[in-house]
Formats: sequence, structure tokens, C-alpha cells
Amino acid sequence: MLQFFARKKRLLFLLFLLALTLTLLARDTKRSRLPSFVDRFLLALFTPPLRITSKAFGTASLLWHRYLALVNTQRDNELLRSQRDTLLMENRLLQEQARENERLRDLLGFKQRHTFHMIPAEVIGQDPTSWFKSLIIDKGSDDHVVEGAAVITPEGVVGRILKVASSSAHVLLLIDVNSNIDAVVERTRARGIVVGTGSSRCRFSYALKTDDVVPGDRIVTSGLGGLFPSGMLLGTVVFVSNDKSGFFQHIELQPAVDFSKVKEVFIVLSGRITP
Amino acid sequence: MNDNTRLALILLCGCAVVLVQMLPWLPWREIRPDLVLSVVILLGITAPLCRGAGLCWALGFLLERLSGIPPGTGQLFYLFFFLLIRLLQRFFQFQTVASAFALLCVGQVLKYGYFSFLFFVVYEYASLSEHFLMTWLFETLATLVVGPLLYAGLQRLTAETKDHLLAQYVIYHGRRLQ
Repeated sequence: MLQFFARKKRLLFLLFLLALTLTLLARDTKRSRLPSFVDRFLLALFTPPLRITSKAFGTASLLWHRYLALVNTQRDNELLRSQRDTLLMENRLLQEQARENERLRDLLGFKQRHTFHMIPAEVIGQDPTSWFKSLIIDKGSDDHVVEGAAVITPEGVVGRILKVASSSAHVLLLIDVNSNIDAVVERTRARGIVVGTGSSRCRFSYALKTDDVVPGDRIVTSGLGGLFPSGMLLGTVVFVSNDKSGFFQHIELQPAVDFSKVKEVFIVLSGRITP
Repeated sequence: MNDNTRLALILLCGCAVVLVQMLPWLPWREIRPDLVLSVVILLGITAPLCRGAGLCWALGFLLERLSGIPPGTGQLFYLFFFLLIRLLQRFFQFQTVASAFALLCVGQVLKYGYFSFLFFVVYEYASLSEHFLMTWLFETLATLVVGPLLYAGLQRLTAETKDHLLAQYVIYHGRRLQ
């Protein structure tokens, strides 16, 4: 028996590797996960070199933009000043409306909304394959980041935290095929789920054929589930089709965020009720 | 350089390659080559069977744990491709960069079939077909441009000369004839 094993050890080793791989595949089809310490260890191992290269590139880019590429700076400055003035006025108006809204909610006896604590993070890595869409950011469990936390930018939703290491975390992007986010159409409040397709667009699934959705409509987070603040922009409807049989419309949306240009994000930490 | 040192160096290069693929500022953010495939080819041509298979498995594991790939997917492909190279070595000699280019083509074609099966049959991502084809096409083009260069660099770095490869080939086939 031992002689058999000694003679066939190479074959047995290959069979072992194959069996191990197939076991992992089978585990995933049941949506179970590997022990997270493996992920944490690997993520932690790769974080320092990613951080260093990211910083090095950031410095080089800064040097270029601050000292060498100053051709349009004057024009940009003027444009930004005028935009800032407009936004300041808009901001004052919105603040006033928000205060009025809160007063009215108080009068009506509505429960106070969740407020969310956010921390900024920098993108230091991306998915090493072309098939899936994820990012690596430089904040982890040391900064109280937890799995499932929402990741956003001022433009809109980026995705959610998939794995967390001590000083970095893996973000599953909105456009990844495994991403699903509960959403509503801002104009009509029609409900659906924004599903990633792996491409630059997403689908707005489960919107009934009776729902009023047209190209140009903005899709925002519903706030259900408590991970994402409600009203965060997910994208804009670019295609609607009622032709297919079934109960639901075929709706495609263009995400609000340009994922190829994301450098800084905000992580939404657990919500708390304001007193 | 002995076998173990060389294999450790290849593994280190494999890790470096994965790291490079993860850098967010590289020009191929959307069009990304599969650089690990070149490392697998080098292992397939030069490494001993068990250790080579183990390293391919490890590289696949590393890649998928740092990515959103479902567990087992990358490992199975790289392991299968490694074994295929070993099998093909019984009939062909792979000594030049041109042969590595041919193997990269074979690898990408196999990947298309493998990922099609996984995505559409196992994981049922039915809406992906158009995007799937585009992703594969871009990845293939990028891999065929960058892959042979990386292979040549790795080959040089790990001191695999033509004569060494030829000697290995003769030893390997000599053993088989015995």
C-alpha cells in the first residue's frame, strides 16, 4: 500500500490539488466563504506595497499638476470661483429648506432620520482581473470599517465593503455582477434593484411594467436595509424597454460615478439615530 | 541557480505580477492583460511537475483572493493550463518566445471556453454575453502584447537559457523513452 502511494505520489498530489479546487468551487456555489483570516492576511500583505506605489504615483502626479501643467490654471480658477459662488447660494437655500423640513417633521411627530458617520479613504488598488470590478482602499478595521459598509463619493454610490483587513479594505463596485442595491426612481418612487452587469452600465431590475420610468430619470438608493443613506444617486436611466414578455421592464442605467477615475471615496460607517 | 531558488524567484515574480495588475494608475485600467498566464507558461515549461502545479495553484489562489473571482475559479484554470502545457511538451518543444506567444493564444482561447462555462452555466450570469466577449477580446489583445515580453524577461531573470531548456527537454524525453 505504502509502495503504491510512494509510486503514485505525483498523481496523488495533483488529484489532491484538483479536489481542493473543486471543493472551493462547490463551496462558492452555496455562497459560503473561506475563513476571512486568509483574505485578511493576503490583503494585509499586499497593502504596504500598494500604498507605497500609490503614494509615489500620487506625488509624481501632484508634481506634474502643481508645477508643470499650469497652462489652464488661471481660466480654471475663474470658472471654479463662479461655480463656488453659485453653490454657496444654493447651499444656503438648501440648509434653510433642511431646517424647515426638520421643523415640519417634528411637528408631524415623524421619527428622526438616521445620520451617518463618514470617513474618507484613498484608492490604492484595483481588481487584478478584468472579469470582476473591485477596488482596494487604505482604510480597514483599525478605522472601524466593517464588511457591508457603503462606499460613496460626492457624485454617487461606489459600492460596498467586501473584505476588511486591519489597514485596508476591498470594495465591491456597483457595476460588479455580484452587486445588488435596493433603489427607487427619484421622480416616481418606483422601486427596483440596481444590479451590476460587469460592464460600464447597470440594470434596474424588478420595475413593473406599470411603473413610470423614462430615460433621464435619476435612480437613487431607497435607504432600506440601513447600509446606504437614502437618496444617494446611483445613476441615470439611459434605456427603457417594455417589449419583452413578463412582468418587468428592461431598464439600463449609467452609473453616476466614473469608476475609472475614482481616487478618493467616503465610507459610510454604521448609522445612528440623532437625538 | 538551483531548482528551488529558481522556483522561489518565479513565485516572487508571480506575486509581483499580481501586484502590478492591482495598481490603480496603470494605463490598462480597463484593458488589462493576464500577466499570471506568462508565469504559468514559464512554470509549465521549466518547473518540475508537482512543485510547478503547486505554484500555479498558489498563484491562482492569490489572484482570486485579492479579486472578486469566485473561489476555485482561477486555480482550476491555471492548474489545468499548466497540466496541458506538460502534456503538449510531449509533442512539441517550447523554447522560444514565439512558442510562449502560441501558448498564450491557446491559454486565452481555453479561458474563453472555461469562463463561458462558469459564467453562463454555473453562475448563470445570463446578461453578460456582450460584455463578456468584449472583456475577453481586450484581455486577449493586451495579454498577447505584454505577455511575451514578460515571459522573455522572466526567462532571462530566472536564467533559463536555450541550452538549459534543450537539456531539460532531452532529459525529460530520455526518461520517457527509458
